[in-house]
Amino acid sequence: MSKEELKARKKAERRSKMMTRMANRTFSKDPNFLDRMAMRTLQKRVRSTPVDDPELDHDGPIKPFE
Amino acid sequence: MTAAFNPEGKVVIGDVVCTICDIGCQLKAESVDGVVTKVRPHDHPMLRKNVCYKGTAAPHIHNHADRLRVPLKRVGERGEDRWEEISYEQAMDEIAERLKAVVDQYGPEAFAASTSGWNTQTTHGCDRRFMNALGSPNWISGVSLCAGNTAAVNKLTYGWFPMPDFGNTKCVVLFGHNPRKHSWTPIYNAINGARANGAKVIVIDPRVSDQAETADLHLRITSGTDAVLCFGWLNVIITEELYDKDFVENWTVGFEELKERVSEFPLERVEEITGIPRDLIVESARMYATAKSAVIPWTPITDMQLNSTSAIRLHSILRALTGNLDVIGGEMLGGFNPDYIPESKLQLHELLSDEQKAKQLGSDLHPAYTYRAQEMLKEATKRAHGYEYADIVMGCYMANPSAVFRAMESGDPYPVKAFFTLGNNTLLSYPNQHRIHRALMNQDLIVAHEIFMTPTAMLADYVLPGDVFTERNHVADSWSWSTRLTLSQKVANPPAEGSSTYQFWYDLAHRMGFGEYFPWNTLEEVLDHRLSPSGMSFEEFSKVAHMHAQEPEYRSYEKAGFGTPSGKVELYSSVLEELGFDPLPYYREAPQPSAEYPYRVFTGVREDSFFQTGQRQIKVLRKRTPVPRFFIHPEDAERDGLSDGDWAVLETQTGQVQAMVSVQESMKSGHLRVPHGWWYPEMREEESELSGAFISSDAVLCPDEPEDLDYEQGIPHFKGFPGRLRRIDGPPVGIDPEMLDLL
Repeated sequence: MSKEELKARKKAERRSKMMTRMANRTFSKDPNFLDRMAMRTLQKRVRSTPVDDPELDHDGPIKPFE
Repeated sequence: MTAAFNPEGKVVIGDVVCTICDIGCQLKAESVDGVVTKVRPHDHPMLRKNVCYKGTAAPHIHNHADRLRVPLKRVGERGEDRWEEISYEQAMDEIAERLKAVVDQYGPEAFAASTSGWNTQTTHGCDRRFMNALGSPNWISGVSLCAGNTAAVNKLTYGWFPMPDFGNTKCVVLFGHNPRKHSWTPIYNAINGARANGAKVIVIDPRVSDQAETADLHLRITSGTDAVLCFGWLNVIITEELYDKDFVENWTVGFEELKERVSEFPLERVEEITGIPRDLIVESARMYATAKSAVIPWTPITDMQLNSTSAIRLHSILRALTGNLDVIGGEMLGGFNPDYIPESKLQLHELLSDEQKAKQLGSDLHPAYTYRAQEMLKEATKRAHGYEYADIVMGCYMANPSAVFRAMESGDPYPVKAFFTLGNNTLLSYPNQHRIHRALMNQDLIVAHEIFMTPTAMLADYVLPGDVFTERNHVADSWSWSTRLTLSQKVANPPAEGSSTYQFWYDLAHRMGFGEYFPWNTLEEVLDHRLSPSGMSFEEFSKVAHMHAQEPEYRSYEKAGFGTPSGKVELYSSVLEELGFDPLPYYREAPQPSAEYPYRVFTGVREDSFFQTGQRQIKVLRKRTPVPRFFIHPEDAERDGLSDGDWAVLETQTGQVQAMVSVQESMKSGHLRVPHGWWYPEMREEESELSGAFISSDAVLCPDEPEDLDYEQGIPHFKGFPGRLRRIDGPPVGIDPEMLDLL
């Protein structure tokens, strides 16, 4: 592995650790200002839209031990 | 009790970890007055796509009319399905008394148990804890065929079972693995995410699977020859010097010996055995080895072959030689989450004496995942992972299931007379179902802990109703495979006479006289104990976060070496050598198709609608897959005079089953795929034996005599044994007409 490749790998590793710290902030149940900032950043990066998949719907009311 | 659960409230919403399958998606569950009404995708942006239609069907499963709610005691002959309802307390008193009688007469090793960490979510290690305190080494599980055995074999090579870093990888290699939108959904999403980041995908699969359709390269391998393809790749990688020379020099042992073994597999031979053109072998090997980073995710296909140990080791060796171990975008040796006590530490293997460990069934012929082999790694495991019995995916220290069932049937080498099964439909879950049936019929005591009456539970003396994931609190760590902790909250009430698996072992241990090993009175106290390194109780954890990921640590082996005797990646395995096996991977040819049995039968096929042997009574799922189907190629259908929609009998030298024929161009000629785990809950009211357990179950088909098994682990060859098809007039009698109308 060349010096440049090693340098790039180290950089990617630092970035991955930073992303994990940011993700952990977004899992907070009682978010503070920094947690909310992290969530906004994540939402921009992930761009995940809510799931709209009709296969996930199962018709019919649910009663106990129906 | 949890903050989210309020039995007197109206709507309660909680974070839950789904256990309808083994992948463990975090979802949101809603309940009204203690009854779960909805399970939906999580609202977190990273999690919201991780959901399938099995997960959202959870309320239909958890509230089903056939859900077991009261303990049952057998009153008819074994398997006759006649019961009386008794209280939980009475059931546990009687079970303890009868288990004591078996132990007194035959010794503690006469007790065996089969449990599923997938279906019950966790046992908190307490099944093993109970057995170790009692003195029995004979614990078996489906993980001996699926993931757990891979973990144990990975451990032989580099001391741990790695987790792919999909988020950063540049190449994904799928050996027959086919994650789909509604099956192993998070892995499907992770592969798509990797593709979006520029990763190449190589699929090795006899048929044109969903993943193969969009792969960069598709290698249509002859089933059961994975090990040979790996040798072909290694041939290219070594010849063209595409391996990581620094890593090989500093962190492996046995490279020269491996090189010599690889030279026995010139590409002409690899092409001949695998059926893959050599140009494609070379191209794919280069693509894998020259990618900046690459992963070979776990696959249930390589788990289940005659060459399973060699093929799994070859995957490990490829990871190591290409420098993909514990690097970004490669395969992470995560270790344990320091905030959570792992299951294996709760199992108390140190309680079991050497004398009892030596009695573990199957350890004589097939020791790889038994105490006999894994104890040889104790010191290395302690050095590298801090605890001598560190385990991943429950995969180490298991007895061999085939050996256990032989002992249960015949008393050889000693009698096994009491069998407990928790969240595991044992009869349909291991090879040679007819032998398992005879084994179960020869027991003095069988206890089943289940959520539905299964064919296995129908053979029990006592059937106890279990709980489900919406009815219990938990913190999931993917059975120590992941360093991430995921919250699961109780939002609904379990049946009044139901119990968690922890409660079951706790109550039994206290009745058996070794309650001191079960000091935690409730599941929440167990969770408090497991979270104690974090300084938080479960209650506190559940208020702080719904998930917590451990920061990745790269090249962790640089601190204390790999968890092997040499401290390096053992291309040449010192443990296998000491046990008398070939220390290098090799290839052993499986029985080939013949004029009499022209198909390569490939069992264990997972259908999106179900997980393992479950959910056939859940109409919203069953309607998607109303009956089992054999998948064959049009050429084979024409030869055998079969058309799409016909019903047929598949015969092997071990047994026969029936299913509908599905003729598909995507199949590889000569191959026949058989779905896993079929039985017919609707036949319980009919005369059919054990709810049609023998009609369509793939477990009937595969032999498991010692010569049929992988040498080192004792794994059956589920992926390509000979069989033949014969047309029959129509479906089996007793199938729900509503299901037949859907065809």
